[in-house]
Amino acid sequence: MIDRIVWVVFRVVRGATLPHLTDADRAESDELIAARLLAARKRGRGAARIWAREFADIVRVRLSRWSATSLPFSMLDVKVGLRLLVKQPGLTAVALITLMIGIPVGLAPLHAIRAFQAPPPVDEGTRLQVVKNFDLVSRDWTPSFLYDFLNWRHNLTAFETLVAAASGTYNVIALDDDALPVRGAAVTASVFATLRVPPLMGRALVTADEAPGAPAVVVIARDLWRARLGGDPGIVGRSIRISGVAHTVVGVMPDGFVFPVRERLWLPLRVNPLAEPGHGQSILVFGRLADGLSPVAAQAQVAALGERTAAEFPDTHARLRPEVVPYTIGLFPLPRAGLQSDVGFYFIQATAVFVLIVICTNIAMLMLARTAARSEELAVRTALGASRVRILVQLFTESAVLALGAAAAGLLIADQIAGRAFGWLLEQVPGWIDFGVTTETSVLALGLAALSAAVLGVLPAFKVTGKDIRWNISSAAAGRAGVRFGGLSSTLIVIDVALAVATVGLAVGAWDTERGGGLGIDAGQYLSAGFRVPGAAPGTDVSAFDPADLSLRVGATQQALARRLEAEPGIGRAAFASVLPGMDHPRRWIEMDGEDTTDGFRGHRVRVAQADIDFFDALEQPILRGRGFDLTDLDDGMATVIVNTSFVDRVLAGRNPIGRWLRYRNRPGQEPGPWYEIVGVVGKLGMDQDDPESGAGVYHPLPPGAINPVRFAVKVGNDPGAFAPRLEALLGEVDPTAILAPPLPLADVFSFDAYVNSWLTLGVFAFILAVLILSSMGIYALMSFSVAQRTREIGIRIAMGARGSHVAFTIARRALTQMGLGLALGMTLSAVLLTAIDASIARVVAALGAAACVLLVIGLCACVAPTLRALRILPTEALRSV
Amino acid sequence: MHPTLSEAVFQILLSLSNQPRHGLGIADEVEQRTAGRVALGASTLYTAIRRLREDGWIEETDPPTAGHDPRRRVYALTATGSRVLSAEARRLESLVRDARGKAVLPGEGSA
Repeated sequence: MIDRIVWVVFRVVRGATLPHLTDADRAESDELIAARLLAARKRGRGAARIWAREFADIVRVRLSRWSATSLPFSMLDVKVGLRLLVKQPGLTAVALITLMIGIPVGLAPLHAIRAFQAPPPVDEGTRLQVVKNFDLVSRDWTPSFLYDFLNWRHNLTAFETLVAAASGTYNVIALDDDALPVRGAAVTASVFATLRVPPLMGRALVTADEAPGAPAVVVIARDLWRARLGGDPGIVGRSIRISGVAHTVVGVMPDGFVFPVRERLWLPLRVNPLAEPGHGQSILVFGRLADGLSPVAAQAQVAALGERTAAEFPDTHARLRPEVVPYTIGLFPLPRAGLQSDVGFYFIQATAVFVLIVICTNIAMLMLARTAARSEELAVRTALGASRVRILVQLFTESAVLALGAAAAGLLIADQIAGRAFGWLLEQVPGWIDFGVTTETSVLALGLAALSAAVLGVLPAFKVTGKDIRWNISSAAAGRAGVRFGGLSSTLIVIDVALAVATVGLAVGAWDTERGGGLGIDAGQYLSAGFRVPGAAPGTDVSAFDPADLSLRVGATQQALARRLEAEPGIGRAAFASVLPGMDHPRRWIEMDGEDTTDGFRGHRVRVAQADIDFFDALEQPILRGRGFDLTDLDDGMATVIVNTSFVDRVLAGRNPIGRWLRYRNRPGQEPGPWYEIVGVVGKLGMDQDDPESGAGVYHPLPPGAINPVRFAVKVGNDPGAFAPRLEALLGEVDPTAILAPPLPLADVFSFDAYVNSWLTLGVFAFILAVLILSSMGIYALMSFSVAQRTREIGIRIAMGARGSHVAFTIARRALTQMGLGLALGMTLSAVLLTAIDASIARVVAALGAAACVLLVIGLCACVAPTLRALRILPTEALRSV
Repeated sequence: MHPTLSEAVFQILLSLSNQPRHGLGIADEVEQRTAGRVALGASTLYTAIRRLREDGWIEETDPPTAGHDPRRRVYALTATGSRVLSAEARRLESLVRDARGKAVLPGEGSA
């Protein structure tokens, strides 16, 4: 029995892989093998060795015959493919552009996942893990403090070493007395041993540097040494001022050392062994796993320690669960498993795949129509001896030329755009994360392109080459295409319309593109800036960090700066706030007093800002109703707000807001926030840069020192940029430790913060346009082709006495049915997806309506031209092929 | 000048050098002559035979004796095939001579 099975398998494999053998060859081959099997049996040996040799022989012969000339593929196919691209520039341009967009977009989420999984570029970087606390109640990560670091370092054996790092921006004054803000970190000396990177010059930090009262020392990055310290070979031992304090440079780190993220200088972290739980400055804790220990085992140990700590300190740690997270992922508020576990990311992934499906569907329709139009050519080639495989390979090659070329071009463009478009993001991510195109992404993209070529080129070709050749040739002679698609074309049209409509709706709904209106002030007269006071001054014990003290320092700096600015001739008062007009204000949901909040009530979405009591006066904005903020609003227990006129219109339908109360809606299960009384109304001050005309806004009074950093705008005149150096000097005189954000004219702040919006808006518009164009072309091509197929039917019906108008109506009815089904499906799909993301329904409905009209017009046009053409044919001509 | 022959092709030509044979006979003769060192796989044998026929180095011929199984095709070396075989044998001989000259192989000419 086994023998028979093996014989069958052998013959099948041989037949499939060695088709050149004739029946006589195979018969004699079988006889030879049988003789050998018999001989082996007689010698008492098994047949396995004989069979193994014969199967291996098949493989060897197959491989030896594998050459370019033996494949049904030639460079002529590539030339034909290129020639077709030139002959059909419309199809080529649209397919190229959309594949160039679609393939990189489709791969972008996977690429992002891989980028964020990149381990740090140090020895055994995958063994670096971040340890941080997860709040089981708020379901979010919480800061770690020095106590946590000491507790973990003392009690965990899962880590070879642990590091604590507190990042910040420091004013560095080196050669030319100009203060340069530099990103740096106060770190435990263990960081250098943990990362296993020796210094380029001098020494790394040592444990003795951490002791309170130890000399102020610093290790700097090589690029900082070269750029700001002249590359002085005697830098080790020199003194530089960091945030006003003299530090001795003890070492220089090599290029590429940017830990924790993008730091360029490293100060010793003063470690107080008596740090209390939940107090002090927040820090990052990371370490290298002990030899032989897996992250899972480390997690078990960390979790057990977390339970003991929670029992010992229930007030601060009862709801905390420490977790071990891969280093790069641990730097971000991502789930432990990485970007791919984030709920929002699934939406992005789904959208990317959606885009790819839309594009492939449209191109499939175009390719289908193009292939069907060549049915006569393909039939003649078949008659002349071309095998089906040969034709399929040629059509695949033609599609592959298009798809691979588009993928390669798309990757090149994506690689260029990745850095420029997201330059603002790159400063926030570790230096070793590369958003450029990687080898893996390139291989995936080219593989996807090859798959697209197979689907787009080969599947339609199967349909075209499957028909009886005589039928194809006679159909072509009769002036009709030799292929009927029937249900396939209807299905494709319905799907295409549905996806096009849904995609347009999704794009518009997910991105509110309406822009317009001003900031409510003459932005060209104002200079904007911001400052931050560092939490713990360099060289101080971070565990002794007191938020109240910091608040006092910030408040003092703010008030002193306001006085100095007011004393400057020709300069207006400073307006301090959490965000300035034109910037992206945070969004919150609110409810009003007296509203029925049951039965799925979601609340009102508003923009929120904190503004000091002189904010509106400084911006020369009158209070339109009620009163402005005053000192009494800063007292404890006072809960007052000012709203803008858009709030009055949208939330209160124009009713008087003075004396009304609002409160913020929190997540389900959380207690609602306190009530706030509306005491005044101001005009629109650009709180919603996507919707300046109607963005409802709420202002809270801002006590001095309540926020850090704090932004401000000051009226300086027609050339705001000219005052920037003076502003820097004033702040330096008021507080040398304060870090000043680069001053910008307020008008430029608007455009700076709209940088991302403008890129995305441009992308969305371009995308919508591409989808509509491609969908329109695909629908037009397939519909007109389908109608053209019915030329004979139309001729017969006219000959039989049917009215032309009735025939045209019949054809249009079918097209409208297909379009209608597609529209209904698309709108349903769009509505389901947009419900989840709180899109502006009115805007989405308008966009869907516009897309539907465009597609409907295209569909009808696609029917009209071929129908009229068919109606003009004499019945005798139409009947000729009978 | 003919290309270098693979061992399978050389053995097949060698097998047909003194008499016509069918495929099974070729395989048996080669295996016996080489004491089992060369066991031509069925696929290799018949693929090679097909190519040798196309190249004109062997040809199908009448079976030498009566009572021969008519299903089996008998092959004989052509004049071209004979020249190719001789040339390859001389080439291999010169290689062996070179190896002996360098004492890689024992025999005449070794140092």
